[in-house]
Amino acid sequence: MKDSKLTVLDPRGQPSGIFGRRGEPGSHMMAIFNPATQPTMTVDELIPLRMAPRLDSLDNKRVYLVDTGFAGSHDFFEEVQDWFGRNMPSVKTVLHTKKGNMFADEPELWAELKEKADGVVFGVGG
Amino acid sequence: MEGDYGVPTAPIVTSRFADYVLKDGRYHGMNLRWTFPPYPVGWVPRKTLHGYVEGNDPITGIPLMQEIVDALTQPLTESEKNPEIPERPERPRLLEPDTEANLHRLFLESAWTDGLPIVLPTEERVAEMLTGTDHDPQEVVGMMSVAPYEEKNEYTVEKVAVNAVMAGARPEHLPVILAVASARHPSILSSTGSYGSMVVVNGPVRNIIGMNCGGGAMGPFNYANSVIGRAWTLMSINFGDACLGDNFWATIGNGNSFANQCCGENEERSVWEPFHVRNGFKPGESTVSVFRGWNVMTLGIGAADGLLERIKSFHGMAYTFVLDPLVAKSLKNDGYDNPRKLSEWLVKQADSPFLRPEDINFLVVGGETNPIFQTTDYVHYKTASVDKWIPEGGIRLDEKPLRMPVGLPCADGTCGIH
Repeated sequence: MKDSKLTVLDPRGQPSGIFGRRGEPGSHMMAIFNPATQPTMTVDELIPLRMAPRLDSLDNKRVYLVDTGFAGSHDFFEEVQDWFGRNMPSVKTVLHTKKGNMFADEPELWAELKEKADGVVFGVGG
Repeated sequence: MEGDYGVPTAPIVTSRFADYVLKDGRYHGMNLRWTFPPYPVGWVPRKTLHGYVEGNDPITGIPLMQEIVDALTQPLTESEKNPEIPERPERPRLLEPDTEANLHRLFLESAWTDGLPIVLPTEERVAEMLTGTDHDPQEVVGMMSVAPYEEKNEYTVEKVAVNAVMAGARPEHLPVILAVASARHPSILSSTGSYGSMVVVNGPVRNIIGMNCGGGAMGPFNYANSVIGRAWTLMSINFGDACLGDNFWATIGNGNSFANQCCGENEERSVWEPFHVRNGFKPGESTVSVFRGWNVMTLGIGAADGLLERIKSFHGMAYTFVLDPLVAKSLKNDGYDNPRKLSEWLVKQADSPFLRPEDINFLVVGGETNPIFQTTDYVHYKTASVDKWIPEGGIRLDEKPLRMPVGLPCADGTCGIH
């Protein structure tokens, strides 16, 4: 009896091909944790991200340093900005702290980056 | 930035989460050029951050700033130009037959349990559990993931029954467990902040399955409370694919997560309308309400002023107060004949720009041995129907249902209080 074999069911859920995505602009901070308010995306819609062509160099380029709001990020980016000033002075850096919390959207910022940024450094997550 | 706007981007995340973002990126088709400074970045001296920026990425060994500059300027590789999203393999319904000991080892070593012994979900046991509902075993109940952005896992009535068996539940508990599953909320979440969760049952089903709403209701003294709460955690682990250090990052963890805070509301002794009625359900309907947050402080005393004191000291974005019936009675005597009036007063007095009356909830639970309240910063996420999962013939009770002793004499033989 001790060595007889049992058949049991797999307790795990089945991969669905549905992914969570960012919350709606201006949504409550906790909304991202709520499946009822969290938009979803099917794997068919989830096309691989096409990366942007890279710059030849950063000389005389405008690079946005975007602080996402995690603890320490602003101070970290001030150090990054100092580094560019000392080591690559032709790079124009713009330090921007994202509005709201780290989960909040900021459509105006994305529009500004599209128009004015040659490159973006984004962080610091975690 | 990259795909839609054509702006080259160098994302930064601390090295503690390098594996996570790389894995997440692979499954989302986002193979970004990450840079990983040491961990942590928050609450460290400025000179430490200076050292991070001047030093190397501890994952790659490359000077950190050089890595950022390269991320923006080095030409794309072929794999970066043509990324692919790998598909996750489908999981089998049945596992390979094995001995009882080996299967217990498999479940434990695969992290499909909470670390405590489980009941193995054999075909016979799962079939018996499924007699607790009329719904098709293959009906999809919902989807969840413990990391909000990850691929969600779908689960059926049968999968819920499997986890109910593992938790030690009986068919009489299945409708409530299905209702919890239908809320689609994992009780544990991948946040570093060690979430806790609570599920509170309202309506006639509480008494039919012998839930404790009175003395010690939140503690380990009631079979239904314990197995329903535990089933939620097992479902969260197995449906949410929770894996410590992979997608689950609670730095300390939360003792409440074993069986969560699970009980019924003490409707019989409350001076207010039941919680589910205040959320649009009828008194005769049965529901589960799920809550999640970080903090629980058990010993609160005083009436409205005591609640306000807690709000001012917690600085939360939401509050769910669990009140002994004596506290609710006292509040009503002070003029708060409904909880909404109390919420509005608290928001006004707290003068917080973030707090809204609907963010403050009140539940009445307890045995009237002391007028004490419990403060949590839990958000009320959802109230879901239990009735839709109950079989046509009613809750399927065992011939002799398992019940733990009730510690306090009962007025009506059901709720465990005077």
